[in-house]
Amino acid sequence: MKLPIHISEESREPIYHQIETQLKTLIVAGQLPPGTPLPSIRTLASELACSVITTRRAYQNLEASGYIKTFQGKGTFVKEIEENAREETKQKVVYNAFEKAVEQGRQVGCTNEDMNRIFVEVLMRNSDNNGG
Amino acid sequence: MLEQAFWLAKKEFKFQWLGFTATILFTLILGIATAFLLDISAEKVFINRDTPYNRLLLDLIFIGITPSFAAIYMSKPYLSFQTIKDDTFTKRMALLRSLPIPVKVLSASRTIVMLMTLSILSFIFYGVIYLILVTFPMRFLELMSFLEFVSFIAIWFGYALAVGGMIPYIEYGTSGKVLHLTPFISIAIFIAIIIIVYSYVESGIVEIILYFAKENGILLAIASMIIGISSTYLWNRLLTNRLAKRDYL
Amino acid sequence: MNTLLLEVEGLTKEYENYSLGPIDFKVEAGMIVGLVGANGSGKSTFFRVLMRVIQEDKGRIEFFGKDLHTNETEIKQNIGYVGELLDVYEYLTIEELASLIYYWYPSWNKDRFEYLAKRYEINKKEKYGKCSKGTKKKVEFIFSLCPDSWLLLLDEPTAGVDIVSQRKIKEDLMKYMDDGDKAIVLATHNTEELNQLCDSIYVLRHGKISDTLNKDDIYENWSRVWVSRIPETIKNHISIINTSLTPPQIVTNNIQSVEEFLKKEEITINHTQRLSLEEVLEYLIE
Repeated sequence: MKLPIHISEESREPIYHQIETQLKTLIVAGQLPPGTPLPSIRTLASELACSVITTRRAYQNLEASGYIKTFQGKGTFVKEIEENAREETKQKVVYNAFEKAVEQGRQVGCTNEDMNRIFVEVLMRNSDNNGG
Repeated sequence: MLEQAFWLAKKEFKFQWLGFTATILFTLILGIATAFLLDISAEKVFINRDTPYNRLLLDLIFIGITPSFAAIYMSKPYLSFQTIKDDTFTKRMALLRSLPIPVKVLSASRTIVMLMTLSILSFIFYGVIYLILVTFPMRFLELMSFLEFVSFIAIWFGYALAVGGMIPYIEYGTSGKVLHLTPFISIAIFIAIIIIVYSYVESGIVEIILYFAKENGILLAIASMIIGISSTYLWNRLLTNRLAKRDYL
Repeated sequence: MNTLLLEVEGLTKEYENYSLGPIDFKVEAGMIVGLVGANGSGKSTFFRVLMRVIQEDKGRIEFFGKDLHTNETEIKQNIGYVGELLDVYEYLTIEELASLIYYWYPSWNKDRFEYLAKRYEINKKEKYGKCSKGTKKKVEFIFSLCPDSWLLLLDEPTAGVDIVSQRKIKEDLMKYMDDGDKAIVLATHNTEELNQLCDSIYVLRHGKISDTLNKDDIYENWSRVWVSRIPETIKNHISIINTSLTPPQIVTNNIQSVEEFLKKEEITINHTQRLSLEEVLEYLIE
């Protein structure tokens, strides 16, 4: 039940938010299909070396936005999400990732052209590798 | 509450069986020696037969040792000076205090252990004395009736209660240092008392008690027992307060 | 989720050459609270005061909303305590020790004792004094889990314990917390335990609580910042924990305010990295 969630050493984003985003990504990408049991808040906190206050908050937010459901005494499970919500989240996840990349590009002094070129290059190489 | 206190007292005896057995053996031997001294003493008091004997030793046995029947005195904490450093009794109590046991149960169990030890050891001590007096050709039982002898025992038992009742307090209310110092201080006090008595009267203390046991035995026995029981009660109260308020570590 | 299982207020204990407190301490249901501090900082003394093995001079101690002094026995029945008090009974076997202890806990679970003894490979016939340090710790830990308690007070439960048993202890503590209405106070020197188990951390220094940390605050507020230069004025900034020159860097417990400060001073931040719990604790404990 170990989840591929990682808390960044550098990011200034609150931990609960990082957990939320990464879990959302896993759910939307289908890596955690509906009905998958999630670790308890205590177990997740232990794995991520954070407090249960944080994991509880992340779970509560995810539950409020309909991604997961907690059953008293049974645990927390991934919920069936609607297609349009899934699509929306997908977009958002990708959008956020690009935003971060652009930010880092600016920090090292890339121009728009540089970034555009890099983007196309990465895209090409990636589709070559995946054969698609 | 008493049921719990007895349960704990029973455990204590079970855990201390080795020390208790050693204590019983020592008490047996002491009883045998005392019987002979006591016979000579009685002959001196009642028929003026002056066989030389060590009356200081006899006095010390009754004044100094009979109260220590209130303790399992041949157990390790008493025999080893390590106790001064380790504070064995205090540490035992520290564990018990950390458990959900009411302080009253703890102090009651200590008093029960004390009373049972004193009763058993006294029974053995005086029992052996009686057996020897019956078995060997001695005059003691001609000079004192059984009831007078019982009164004599009761007087000393009351005294042992009064002094020995303090032992649970010393064991569990003070430190290992005090525990090992107390016998020395007590013996010094007892010797001082004996010397004072000797310098005013011609006879030893046991001799005096033998005399009064015959004269006014039952009354004195009752008085002594009352003093013994009330002081045991008092020491128990003090121990209860002390256990609730002291630091164990 | 805001039930207080333990509340300590203004607790003090004076010794000739050492004093504890004043200590304020709170434990909420559902939380594992870590207690860290250098050797001799007063952790064990604090626990012993809570168990009334040592008497406080002043202060109020409430467990489960009830005063400790007036409800002592009832409160202790609902606490599991590990505090190295068993050594004096070294001449007893583990079985005999258990027989002395179980009687006082109405909720003592004998099956759980058997299960845990097996799980931690304890030989019940062995004399306690003959056990290794780690085994003694395990035995104490097992005893503390046998009653159905609401709160565990654990004074270094894994000191000297082998790695496999350490993991088992960690698992058992997490299982203990499953209900969500229990709590644990864990004194430890083991940062892995702090990282994996504790939600908040109290730092004890020279008998006083010098810091109370929420683990996530450390993540959000503590940082190491590599900068272009370190100005003299920064020494006066209250949120600076440490500075060093090669290369110029600052450790802070309030990254937001330091960032603002650096911006005003026109100093460039080259890199920022969060601090690990170990690093933070080293600064706090010294």
